[in-house]
Amino acid sequence: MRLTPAPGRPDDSVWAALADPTRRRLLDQLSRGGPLSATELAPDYPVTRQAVVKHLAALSGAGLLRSERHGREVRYRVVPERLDAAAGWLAEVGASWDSRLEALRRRLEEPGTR
Amino acid sequence: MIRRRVELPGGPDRLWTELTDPESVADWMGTTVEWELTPGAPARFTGDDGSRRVGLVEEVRPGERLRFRWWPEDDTGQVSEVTYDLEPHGDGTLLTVTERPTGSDHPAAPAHDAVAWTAWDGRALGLWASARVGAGACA
Repeated sequence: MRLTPAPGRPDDSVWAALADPTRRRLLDQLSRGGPLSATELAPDYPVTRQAVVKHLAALSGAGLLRSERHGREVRYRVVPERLDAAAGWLAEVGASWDSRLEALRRRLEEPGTR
Repeated sequence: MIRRRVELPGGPDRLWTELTDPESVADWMGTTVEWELTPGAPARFTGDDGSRRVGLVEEVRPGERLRFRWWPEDDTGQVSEVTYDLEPHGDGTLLTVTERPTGSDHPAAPAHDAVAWTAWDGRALGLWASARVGAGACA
């Protein structure tokens, strides 16, 4: 059984899965047009089908994809709930830097500072 | 990973002072910072809202780069690494701020693959989240 991460702290395995550009692209593609199988996905990637399978396994291991068997094929779809904590962290941190950098700019543009 | 790049008035040395001097930081960041600018030195941050963070100074190259790690003092939140990169740009300075998550099992654990993270700002993630909640979750 996989424990759900505490709110506010994204699971390390989610970040580790997201750290790879091929995996981010796979997630992106599957979130738009899933479910798809490794065979359907592979031609769009500059890596072997085997490598795509490995990335899909890593994403599934992090709980970011759910697999479904359709006859002889295994198709994957995104589990968006697993991304909530990470998306929330990114949104919050991004907004904080936007306002800090705006304050820094105002400070530097103030005449007579230093 | 979050990355922001802004062009700011004044040279790198002045910006370095703004980014590191506790009095300046308190003003623009809204955070009291206690740190010694030495790699490996501990740091402490107290926000105007009372939130407390602890951290670790990692890299100090005056006028060029400052890198530190920080995390909530109560140990319930994400550990992340912040990098300021400063480059002279005309009469001003180009500042790049990067903040990326690192392993939370141990604050000193290596950051997730730095190179792989660089081309991504999480916009796609924000899209998925916003599609679900029906509102923009990520700028």
